[in-house]
Amino acid sequence: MSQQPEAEITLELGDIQGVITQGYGKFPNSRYLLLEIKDVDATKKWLSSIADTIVDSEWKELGDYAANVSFTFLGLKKLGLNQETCDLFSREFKEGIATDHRQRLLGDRGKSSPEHWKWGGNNGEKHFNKNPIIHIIWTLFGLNEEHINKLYEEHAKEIEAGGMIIHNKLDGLTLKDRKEHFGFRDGISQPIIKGSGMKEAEHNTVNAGEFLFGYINGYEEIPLSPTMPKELDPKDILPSLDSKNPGGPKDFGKNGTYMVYRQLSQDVVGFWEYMDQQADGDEEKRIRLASKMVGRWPSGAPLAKYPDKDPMKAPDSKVSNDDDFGYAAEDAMGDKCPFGSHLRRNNPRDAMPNTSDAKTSRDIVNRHRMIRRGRAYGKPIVDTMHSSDILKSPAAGQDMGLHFVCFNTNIARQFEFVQHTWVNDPKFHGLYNDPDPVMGEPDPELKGKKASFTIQQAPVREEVRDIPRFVEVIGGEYFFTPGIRAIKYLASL
Amino acid sequence: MINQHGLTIRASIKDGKEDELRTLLNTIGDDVIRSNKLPFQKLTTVHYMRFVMVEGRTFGQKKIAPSLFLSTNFDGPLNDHLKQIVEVAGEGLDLIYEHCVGYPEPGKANSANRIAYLQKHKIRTTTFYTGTRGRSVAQIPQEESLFDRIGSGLLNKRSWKGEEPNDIFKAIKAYVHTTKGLEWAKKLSKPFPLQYYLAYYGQLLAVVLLLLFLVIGLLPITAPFVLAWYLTLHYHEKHDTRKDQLIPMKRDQILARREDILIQNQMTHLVDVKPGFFRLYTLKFVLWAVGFLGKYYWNKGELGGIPTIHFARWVLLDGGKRLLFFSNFDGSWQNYLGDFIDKAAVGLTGVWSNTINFPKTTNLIYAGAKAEEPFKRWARFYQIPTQVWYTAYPNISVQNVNNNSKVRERIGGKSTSESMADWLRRF
Ligand code: HEM
Repeated sequence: MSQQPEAEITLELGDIQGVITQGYGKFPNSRYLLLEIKDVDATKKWLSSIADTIVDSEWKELGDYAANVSFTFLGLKKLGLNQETCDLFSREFKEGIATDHRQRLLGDRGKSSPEHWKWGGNNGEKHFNKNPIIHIIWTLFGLNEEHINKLYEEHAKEIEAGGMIIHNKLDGLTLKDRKEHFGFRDGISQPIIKGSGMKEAEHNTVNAGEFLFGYINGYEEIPLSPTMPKELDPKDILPSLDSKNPGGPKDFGKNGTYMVYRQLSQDVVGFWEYMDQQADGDEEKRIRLASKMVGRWPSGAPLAKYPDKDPMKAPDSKVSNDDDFGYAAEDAMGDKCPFGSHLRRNNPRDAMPNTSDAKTSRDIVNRHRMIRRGRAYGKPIVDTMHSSDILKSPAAGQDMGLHFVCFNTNIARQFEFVQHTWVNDPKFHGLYNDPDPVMGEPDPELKGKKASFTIQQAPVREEVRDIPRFVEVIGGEYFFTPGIRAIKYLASL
Repeated sequence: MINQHGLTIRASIKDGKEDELRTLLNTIGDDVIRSNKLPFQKLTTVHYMRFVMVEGRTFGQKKIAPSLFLSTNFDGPLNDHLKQIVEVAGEGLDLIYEHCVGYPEPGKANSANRIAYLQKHKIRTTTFYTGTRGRSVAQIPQEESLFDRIGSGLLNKRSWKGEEPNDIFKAIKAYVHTTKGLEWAKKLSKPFPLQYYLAYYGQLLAVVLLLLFLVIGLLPITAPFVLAWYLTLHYHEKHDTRKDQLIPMKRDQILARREDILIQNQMTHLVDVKPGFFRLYTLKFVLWAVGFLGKYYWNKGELGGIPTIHFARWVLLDGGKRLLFFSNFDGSWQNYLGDFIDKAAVGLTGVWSNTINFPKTTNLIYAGAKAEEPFKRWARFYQIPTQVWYTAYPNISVQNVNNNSKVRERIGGKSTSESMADWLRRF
């Protein structure tokens, strides 16, 4: 089990799928196609034809669309990846996103149970529903809806010719001012991959091995990668695990990563009705409470820096995109940005409880980061996305929410840890009954006691109780997003 | 305040009875709260309780039968605890121990011979740690309800903006004094008895004197001894070999079946000590040191910086051939192991570097657990299923317990250097 590849610092950008290193801001629209392989040989031909069209990370300027591809565990097996290599994938990926244990870990119970999912949930041993098995996800990014439709038509033909069935097509949108449906600006905070060429604060620059196989991770180690003996790659497509040992094992994982995809349905009206109730109908109070829960104001301005009111600067201003802050010096007691808020608990930055100092905190916290590439779905209730307008126009039953997508090399230590320990655990930060107020699962073990949210302040905290669940999971799967050479390798099998 | 202890009982399982016993225990373990065989909630002396089956082994000539471990973390004198177990859960015990060697014949068990059996099979707990020192099984939920009621019954009723901390405290005190069901909180909990303090500080004094004696009085002997030990360690660290093994999926899933059901979790871990007396005595010393520090230094709810451990213990088995570890903690396995690596790597590397296949260490306490993936693989590989696990207060974290006590103590009139403003932050 010991793998000692060399420690590389420069990333092989040409082999890394573009969606990992960039958010494709140029393309407001996206479509995710969930595919089942029927004819393996035809699919391999398709793979070989698309491999060179996939956007990598060496881009100077993007073309007029972008496409990327990822595989479920069953997908890799179906394509004939050998057993030994398959065994080296992580337990989470092999088991799939839906297992009895994972339901508890991720809070996928009640309405969020995989039994009710619209897609996915059948990659593991236990089949929770009758959804078809998914092998591949093909993600398309385009300029607008029309463009996406056109791209889809072309690609769908090729996919069908490639022996695959398109079971679902899920559309991602970019809403006004890059907001999510509750009306808060999203997609601001993001870790920077060390070696990617992007320059940012040192403390937000994370070792590449947290997001890509084949590099040093947050523990200064190379994560265990799915490798294979050299003989299994006779055409010499894959990189060697150790470039100084060309006769040694080949690294299928190199430049790849895991992609977590969960479709999260948001109860927007329920969210604002709850806030409104707590605020006795007062608009300012209602927005303040929701912002305390999120950790940023609707405009995006962080509470840690702008505690009193939303500065409401322009969407692309420095203030609205401000990510240059910590909590240790500015807000150790949580009076500005509460400990339990979505932002703070999903990244406690330099003020992780029970750590000795800010630097230690950052080091520990940075082992639980992920690259988020989510996109909204569904038409907003009102285009302004202002709470007062939302409350005036009751939703006409349409579904809306977030395609939550993130990339990480260790699902258990990154996505699942965050979802369980930081999001769902009501005891986070020494709290009592406070899961993530925005999207956490109120602990069903608490028998009728719904979630609370504590707002730290002097002289004594404020607390709201009986918070219902605003976000439900309606689909999901774990994928592997391979390096481009690994895609070619799969095509060659 | 009450003195908490760890009880460990080990009984040999009768030949061929293992599967039957496992099935029985698993049925109980699947639903401990409603188990009518073992009415756990009536065991008012019990914080945590577990039954674990441990495989038999052969060490050289010596054959060791598979055994059943019973472990409890309990309050007060052992005799009262044992008496309560056999009186409240006697029938359940009979059902279980019927599978074990030497237990009274069916129909012949009574309180006296059940107690005698448990006494006889009691083994030494090598190192015991508690994160909630002095708080009894009854006190922990009681103080939680105090905290909760002050919140819902008083603080949440109106805004306190602009009020003086001392006035708010007065209001809280008045609320507690006038609210039915909270009368008990007017007073502090009983302090530890004098003997407790005598023993506690007596041991501290003895250890300090002994260390002084070794360092100053016996330096000519101590120094070469330590040097020889160090060189031997160096030799071993250079020459020890290890296997890096991944737990088979099936075994992993058996463990996972019982994980993350509550906000608390448990772990039972069993691994061979490296052969030879050097490792064994080093381990014994480190375990002693961890126990000592756990009592005198890490005694405010954090073991080496980990704030989530309710109770933990290490037990050396079979004349030091195997090391058993039990832990009851808040949060998930990933969180727990992550804390071990991020916060307490030195302490736990010091212990487990003396067991087989542990990731390579330097100077006993360095490296080792810092190798995240190999360490987690190692930890998982040697984890064994806990067939029955009971917790008396599943919804209360260690941090909650300790915070609640601080709230209660001030209301009860205990003097403290904490400012009133800081105290109010506890809510
Ligand atoms: C529908 C569900 C969700 C909504 C409405 C939501 C909303 C938001 C918003 C408005 C922000 C602030 C913008 C930013 O800093 O980028 C944010 C940040 C963040 N969210 Fe979510 N989110 C959701 C689900 C999730 C999930 C499932 C996770 C992961 C388990 C997650 C992890 C994060 C992280 C890590 C941050 C950045 C924190 C930081 O670095 O300071 N979110 N989210």
